[in-house]
Amino acid sequence: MATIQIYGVPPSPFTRATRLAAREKGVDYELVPTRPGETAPVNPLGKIPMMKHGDFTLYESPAIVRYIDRTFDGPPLWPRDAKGSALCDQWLSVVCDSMVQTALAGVIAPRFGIIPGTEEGIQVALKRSERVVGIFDKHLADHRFLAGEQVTAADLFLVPIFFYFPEIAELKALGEASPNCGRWARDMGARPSVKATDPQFRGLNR
Amino acid sequence: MTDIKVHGLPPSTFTRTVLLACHEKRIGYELVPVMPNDIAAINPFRKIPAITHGDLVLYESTAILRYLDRTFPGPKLWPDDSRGIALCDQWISAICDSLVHAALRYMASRYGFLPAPAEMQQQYLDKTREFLPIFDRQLGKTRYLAGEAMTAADLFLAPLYFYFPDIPELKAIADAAPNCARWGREMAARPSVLATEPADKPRLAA
Repeated sequence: MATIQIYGVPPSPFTRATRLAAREKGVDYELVPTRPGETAPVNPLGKIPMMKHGDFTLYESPAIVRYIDRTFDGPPLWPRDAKGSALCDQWLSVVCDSMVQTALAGVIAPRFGIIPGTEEGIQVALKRSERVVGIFDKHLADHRFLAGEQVTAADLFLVPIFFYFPEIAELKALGEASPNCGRWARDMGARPSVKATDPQFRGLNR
Repeated sequence: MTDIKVHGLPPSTFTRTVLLACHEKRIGYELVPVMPNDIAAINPFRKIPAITHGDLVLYESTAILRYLDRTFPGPKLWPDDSRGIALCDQWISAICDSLVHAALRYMASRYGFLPAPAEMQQQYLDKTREFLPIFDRQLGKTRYLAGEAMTAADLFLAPLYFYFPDIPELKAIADAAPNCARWGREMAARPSVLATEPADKPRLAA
């Protein structure tokens, strides 16, 4: 039996972030196919992913990734020093808030047919995405990865979102206009963890 | 002596969470009043709060609380054990993701900060009605969100929860959550909560 169970589906960006963490740490996991809503009543919020480790059940992906990092051996997913760790937390939170609220919830999810959305709403979200991605691109000009010279948890949360950009014309163009994000994506794309978790998903409409 | 500067505004729920953490840990701080649109030099994502501590600039309140807890002495804001930490993280994330995007958005629309169409407002309200009982059930099982001791998770919920009575539709939801009310009374008695009560509360839009 695998060391941990991850409940979720491969196209879910947050499910992928937890799988990336497990792979980067070398933790053996079983993916239990579970769609949003099916995690209730264990997770009253009904969201995916959820994790089980023995008799311990945990939800919310930042909590899961931090638990995996703390509990298992393998390369650390957070810098060890207080400032480095804080900056990793900061970028992780920016991904989960600003990037998720603009590019993921505002553009990718409606274009993929996951949630309803109007073309007008998508255009507003695209404008906001441009501003947010621009800040990431500027940051990645001076830093190899989001929290410094090493891959951290922050990068593992950005990958699943950014790697959907090429599937949507405007986000593809935005990605191509962001050379430092592009360089970062090539570095990340070469990692075995990223290759092994490629969802091969292009939306419900196609 | 001032240890850190907190850039933000007292009525901002996330600013208050940082101020609460400073009071709980007895960290001296200077509050530098700044509106979200004027903070770009410190936080390019234009959100409050941010802190400065020596040469460190840090934004995103979850990152700030973790940094304060790790860097300064005083009562710990996270449990000591691995599972306790994870559950505290889980509840913080559930607040900052689910509850904030329902209740805080509803408040922002009612206060006129972030106008939303009636249909959207209704969705925020419905989601709040769905989410608060989840917190109520948890607070029926444990004294605080992450167990028998107060943690960072409670400091994220309190500023949000304390606005519920000011808006009749949210007050009705809070009135149907007796365990939240019991927890709210305990939290309200803490010196940190009394000291950070916003002097100028926003008023309802006409």
